[in-house]
Amino acid sequence: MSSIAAVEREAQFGFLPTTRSERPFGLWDYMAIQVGFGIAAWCFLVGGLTGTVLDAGTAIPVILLGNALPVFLIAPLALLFARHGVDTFMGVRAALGYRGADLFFLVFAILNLGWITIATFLLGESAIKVMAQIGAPEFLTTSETGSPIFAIAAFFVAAGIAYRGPLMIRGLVRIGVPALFVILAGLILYVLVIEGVDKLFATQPAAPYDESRRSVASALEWNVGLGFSWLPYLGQWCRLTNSERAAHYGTYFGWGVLLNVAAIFGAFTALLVASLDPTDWMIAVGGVGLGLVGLLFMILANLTSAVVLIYSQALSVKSVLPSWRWSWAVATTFPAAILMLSPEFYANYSRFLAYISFIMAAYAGVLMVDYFLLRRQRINVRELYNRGGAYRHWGGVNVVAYASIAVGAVFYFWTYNPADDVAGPLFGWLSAGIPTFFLTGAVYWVAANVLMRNRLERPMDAVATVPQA
Amino acid sequence: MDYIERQAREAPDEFTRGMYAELQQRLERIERGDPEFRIERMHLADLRVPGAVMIAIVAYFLVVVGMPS
Repeated sequence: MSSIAAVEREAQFGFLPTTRSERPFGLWDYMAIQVGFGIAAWCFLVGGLTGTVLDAGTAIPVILLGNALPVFLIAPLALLFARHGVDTFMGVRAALGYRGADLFFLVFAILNLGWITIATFLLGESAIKVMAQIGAPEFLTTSETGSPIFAIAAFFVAAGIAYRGPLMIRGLVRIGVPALFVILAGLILYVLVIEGVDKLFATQPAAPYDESRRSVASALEWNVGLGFSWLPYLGQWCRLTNSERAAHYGTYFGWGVLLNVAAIFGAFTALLVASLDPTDWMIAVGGVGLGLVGLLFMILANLTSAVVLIYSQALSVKSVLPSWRWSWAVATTFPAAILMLSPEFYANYSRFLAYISFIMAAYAGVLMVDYFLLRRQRINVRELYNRGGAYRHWGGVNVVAYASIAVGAVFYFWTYNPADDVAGPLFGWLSAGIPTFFLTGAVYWVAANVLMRNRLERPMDAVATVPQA
Repeated sequence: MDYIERQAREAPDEFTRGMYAELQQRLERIERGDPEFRIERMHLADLRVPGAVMIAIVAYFLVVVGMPS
């Protein structure tokens, strides 16, 4: 089968509601998949950020709560995607409208460019450290010139692999995912055996905020950002589970709980090495020899992450716009290369996480209220696909949902301004992402009950929901 | 003729037409209640385990980091 044919088969599979025989994942398989997909550069980076502002004893509960709570709050949406076997951007059409769901897809695609940049720039940072060790020319060993060169080169290699389709990607994943687990095992060994628990818990963070409450709130917000960031990826995985419980448990325990092992040991290593950059850890932890091996593993793992992210976005584009050529779908990720031209975006990972925290918390609040409280888990599958049908709302957009998200935005930026890292009066007590989830959901519930009562009841009269098993 | 049928008949490329034709068949099977499109439902009681883990994590956080006062 040609690569285009393989891609078209996958795009068609991603588009259609899945049958029972097309769902390979039980509870344990699914949890393993979520851990394998989830543990990547972003876990080590968020752990590294946390370890620069919090000591080990505080970092553990902050990372656990920061990741587990948002995933716990969005995990019930796993039922929507698992029950009907639909992808995220189909499943959210009832709540957001057809064009509103397209807008959510656009938001996802833009944020995905950020994740691609993070993965490839971390690869670039790893590569310049390797170059420094082998005595390469200076311009290949600095973050200003070397990292962008390697990041952009790696990005186009990753795009080429993604273009070749699923068979080549599966081969790479089989090497790249274990590479990350080897790095994680090395960090665990370093922290527990070489440095020891006593030293770890006695070490103070390198760059805490002036107030400890602010350090906790900021670290919590970064982790909450990572927790909520899984929202747009829910559907593509949950539709492949063979029970709703597997979808819910796998999502919660995989992304919300088990993934924290990588973030926590990232925080521990950042504390001990006094650097938030995972590429600094390798030589510090393993010396030159093992450090170089660690950096090469880091390069491989981040190349894999970039390939998976590019492929995932391109496949979603192909499902939403089936008539597009596969090369155009892959090319939608090319703007990421602009973000790789300087180290600025990579250096502002904490701000990126805060923006994700706001956007995804607000969307999640709306989606949860819409599916569980307003529609009481009743969705008409045909109407999800029938553009111009029952979920048209106002010109294809659920204006009430987006107005509620706008209210959530005002609240978030009043509570915390990520651009200038300025905290409002509530930030130290509540952080920002979690209250934004609840506030946006509450505003939507009230507004929808007032403004959408008739619209909510209409599609239910002719419902074509999946019957009870 | 709704959007799905229109795409299945009139979409400019064969790939899109085939995809919507397959979708139409699957939707009809879903509407007939085909068991191939049913999976085991989750019940409220199934939330006990993740709920207990979440409560433990919140309690751990509050004990170590402290209650807002």
